[in-house]
Amino acid sequence: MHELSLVHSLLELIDEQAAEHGFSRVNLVKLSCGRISGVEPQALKFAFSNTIPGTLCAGARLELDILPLKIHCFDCDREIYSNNADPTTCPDCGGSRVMVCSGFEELQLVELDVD
Amino acid sequence: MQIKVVKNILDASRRIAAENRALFDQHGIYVINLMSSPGAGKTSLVENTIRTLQNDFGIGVIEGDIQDSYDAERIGRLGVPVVQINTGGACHLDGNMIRETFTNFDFAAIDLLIVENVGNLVCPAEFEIGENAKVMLLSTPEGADKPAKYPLMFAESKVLLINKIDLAPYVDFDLDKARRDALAINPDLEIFEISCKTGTGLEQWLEWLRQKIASVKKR
Ligand SMILES: Nc1nc2c(ncn2[C@@H]2O[C@H](COP(=O)(O)OP(=O)(O)OP(=O)(O)O)[C@@H](O)[C@H]2O)c(=O)[nH]1
Ligand SMILES: [Mg+2]
Ligand SMILES: [Zn+2]
Ligand SMILES: [Zn+2]
Repeated sequence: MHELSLVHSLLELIDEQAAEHGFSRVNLVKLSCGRISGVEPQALKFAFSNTIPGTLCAGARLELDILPLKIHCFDCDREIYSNNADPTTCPDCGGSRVMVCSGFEELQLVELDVD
Repeated sequence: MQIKVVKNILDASRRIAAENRALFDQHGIYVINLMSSPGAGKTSLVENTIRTLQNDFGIGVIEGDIQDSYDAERIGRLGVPVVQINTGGACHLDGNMIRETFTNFDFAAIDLLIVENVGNLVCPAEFEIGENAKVMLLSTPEGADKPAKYPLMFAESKVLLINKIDLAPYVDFDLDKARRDALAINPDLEIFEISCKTGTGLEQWLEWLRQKIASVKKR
C-alpha cells in the first residue's frame, strides 16, 4: 500500500551511493525481502517503473529476490522450506505444531549495476 | 560496474524512530504503538486504560486516522492530552508524523504515551515510530485465521490482546488455533484475552502495562 514511499527511500539510498561511488547511470537494481515480509512485489515494481523516469535509475531493471519461508515442524522434526502462503501449517504433514524460522526479512538494497 | 550494497530501505525511517525513542527515554516515557484492523477495539482499549491508570500516571495519546477526529474527541472527553494525526490517505503512521506532534505535549507530565495507529492489519507493522512496544488487538469476530494470514504484525508485536472475548461463543472463535498460530510466528508474544465491554482480563493487561511504565519512569 505504501510501495511508492519505499521507492522514494530506495532512490535516496541510490543517490547516496552515486555520491560515494561517482556513477551517473543505473542499469540494474537488486533488492531482496522475505516471502512474508509484507512487501508486494507487483506493487513495488509498478511503483518503481512509474517513479524512475528523469532519475539516475531511468530505464533500470528491478530484480527482487524473494527469500524463502522456512519453518520448523515439530511433528516432522525438521526444518522445511514452505511455498504455502500460510506460515503456520507444515507443507509436508499439514500439521500446525510449527515454528517460523525465517521469511520476515525486510526490504534490502543488495546490489547495483552502474556506469 | 557492480556495487554490492546491502542497505535496509527503511534505514532512514529507523533513524527518525530512534531519535524519537531517545527523547522518550530521556523523559522516562513508555510508548505503546497500538495496532489492529479497523474496529477491533483500539479506542475502547485506550479509554479503558486511561480510566484505570490516569490517577497513577500522566498519560498522553496520539490518534492516527486517515481522516476525521472522532477518536481524538472520544479520548479528549477523558481529560487527557490528545493529538490527532490525519494521514490523508496513508495507511500507517511513521516516525516523522509522530515527531511533528511533540510541540503539543508537555513531556515532563507524561509517563505513558499511547499511539493508536491507523486501523490496518498489514503495514503499520512495517514501521517503527520510536515505541517501546507494539501492542496488537485481534477481535474474535475477525476469526482465528488472522495470524496465519497476516503473520508480520504478530511477528512484530510484544503483546497480543484478543479482544471481544465476550463474543467468542457467538462467532465460533477458535481460541486454541489463534494462540497456537500466533506463538508459532512469535514464541515471545504475551497474550491476554480481554473484553473492553465486560472488563474481562483487563486487569492482567493493565498490570503488565503498570510494570512497564514503572520500569522507565523517572519522576
Ligand atoms: N462486544 C464487544 N464490543 C466491543 C468490544 N470492544 C470494542 N467493542 C465495540 O467495537 C466497536 C469498535 O470499537 P473501537 O474501539 O471504536 O475500535 P477501533 O479499533 O478503535 O476502530 P478504528 O479506530 O475505526 O479502527 C465499537 O462499537 C465498540 O463498542 C468488546 O470487547 N466487546
Ligand atoms: Mg479507533
Ligand atoms: Zn510436518
Ligand atoms: Zn502503509
